[in-house]
Amino acid sequence: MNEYTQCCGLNIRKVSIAQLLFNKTMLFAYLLLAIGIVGWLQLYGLRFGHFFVNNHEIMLAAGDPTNLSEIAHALKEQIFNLHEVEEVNKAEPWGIFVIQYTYLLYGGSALIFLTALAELFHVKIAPKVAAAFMTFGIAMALGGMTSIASDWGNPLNIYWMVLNPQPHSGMWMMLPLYSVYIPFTFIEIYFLITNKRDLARKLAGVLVILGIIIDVIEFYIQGILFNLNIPRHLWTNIPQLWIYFLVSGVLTGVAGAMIFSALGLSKKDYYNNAMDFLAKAGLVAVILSALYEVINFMTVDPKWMNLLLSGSPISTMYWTWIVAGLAIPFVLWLTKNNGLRVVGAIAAIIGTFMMRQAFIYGGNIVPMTERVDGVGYQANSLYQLDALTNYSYIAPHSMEILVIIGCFGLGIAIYSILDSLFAVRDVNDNAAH
Amino acid sequence: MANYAIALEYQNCIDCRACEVACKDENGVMLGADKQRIWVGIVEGGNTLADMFLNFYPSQCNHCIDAPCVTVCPTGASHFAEGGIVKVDYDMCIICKGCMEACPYDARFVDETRHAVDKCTFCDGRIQEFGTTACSATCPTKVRTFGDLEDPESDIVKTLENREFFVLKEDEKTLPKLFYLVPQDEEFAKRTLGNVKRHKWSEFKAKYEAAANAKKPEWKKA
Repeated sequence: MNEYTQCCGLNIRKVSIAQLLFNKTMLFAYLLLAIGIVGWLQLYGLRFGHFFVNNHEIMLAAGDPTNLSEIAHALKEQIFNLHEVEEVNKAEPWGIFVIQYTYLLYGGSALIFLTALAELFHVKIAPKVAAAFMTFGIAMALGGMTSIASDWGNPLNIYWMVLNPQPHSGMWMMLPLYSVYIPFTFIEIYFLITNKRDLARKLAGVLVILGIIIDVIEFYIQGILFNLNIPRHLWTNIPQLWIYFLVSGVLTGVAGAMIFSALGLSKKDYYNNAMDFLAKAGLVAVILSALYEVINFMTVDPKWMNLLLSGSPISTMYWTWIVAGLAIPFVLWLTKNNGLRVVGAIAAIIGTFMMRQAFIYGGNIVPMTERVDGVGYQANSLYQLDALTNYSYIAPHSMEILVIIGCFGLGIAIYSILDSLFAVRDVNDNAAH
Repeated sequence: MANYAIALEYQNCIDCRACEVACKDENGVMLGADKQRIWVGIVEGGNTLADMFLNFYPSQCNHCIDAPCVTVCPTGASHFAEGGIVKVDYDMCIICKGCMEACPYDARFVDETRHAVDKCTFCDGRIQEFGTTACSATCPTKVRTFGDLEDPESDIVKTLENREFFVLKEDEKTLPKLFYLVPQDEEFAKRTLGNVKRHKWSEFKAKYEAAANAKKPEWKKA
């Protein structure tokens, strides 16, 4: 039997340090975090510990054999080995970190959105799982934010976002948004797990509606962020991009919640009901996502779309998304077998990650060497397929892959700590509308 | 207030890349094959000996009047400076790379020695002293004509008034300020440029002036 102490209307579970920090979930999170730390060390070593030179430094080094030797080595790397030593390639400015950000953050936010909707419409299972799903969702979102923070090459200058506001920038709008969104989500969770039931009941409706509005604003701003990149026609041609993000985010969130339920809620008597609800929500998300793909096929520049469909590494990602993210979950989520549903969820988790990759890398399919409209290269406008053999797909560095594994670990660790302290999986077991 | 631009007689380009070297030397640009503020694009075409051609298109940041890189920058590191020059304040850049994604001309790159995104500045310090950019000054075939679009006596305005020109990726509506002069041999121009949109300064002037005037309140003093 668990013992609790009270603080601010919350029942906080009395757990030992060992139970809090060295339970099975945390040990798994540590493993992922340790992998991530290796990546982060390599990343910051490259950014701030690697020697890159310009001609001014070469002149300064003249006459000093040691310096000249270092300069010669750096120069050799820069000229002959640049893709291996530089972090950011000009042809593909946004890569795996942004993919991870969109994947985890949209998935987590959409799960929070879906849970709020379920609360609003008094879905039977909602009161029991809402706290756990929202905590899981916010942990995913924080993992995603860590990824984008890793992406910024010089995050120390971020204070300029406060000192020099740029409200026309989609990326700047994230600052006020998350300043509201994250605390607000924690407030929602607080009211879900508080023992001040009367207050919680009175505010529940308002909080849920506010939560839904903030979620919608978040996705809308994410849509603006990508829509402002005018030369990336994949990102600007998709109609109402924010809805696409929301729908596909729900798919990731539902798949994540299914796996989470199988691991963490399987012994609950409402497990089957939770899986039924998730399977239904997942099927709606699959159908809407598939519809969106059809709409994309009709509206995105055909030359761009054709490149996604065949002839590039991105097409492999795209078809993996279609098969693993849409087809397999659609079939398996129609069944009543929870084991098969979890297999569908694993496929959807992989498929939606591939979809984010196809979206980000696909947006960068701009053969920038064709800089002029007209004849020759120009005759084919921006998209001459023959010229795309060495276009913008550059596989991520191993350090980047390690970092995204670390971001998963961070999300799991955050969830585990919150669950250990606040028992988010158990707190509402007896709740009902 | 000046509004700087460059007209390019690209048919004169011999791909010697002296402009790239001069730029790196003038501006302390990080060395490396992919690290450059300016470059020479190569376009070849034709099927037979009679119609083969090879064009070099020297290029750089277009210092667009409606620059998308400035719009997307979350910290204000990318900004308009006096003369309509698009610059980066290195101390404010977080290297989010949003500007690299937003630029239709691929004019930006990460300079690891500066820990910031870098780009062409039209040699803004140099033009105060010498009146032109390093790339313009060093070109042996005088491809570039640098000048002020608001000075009717400037060489660039006189050139644009007498010649047809085109701009890159016009459909993106960024109002770029690199003007490529159409070859004077009409048959060659037609063969090598196809149906590219050609313009005269008389039709462009009002649009560019209005857009520049609307943006001038954002131009920061150097």
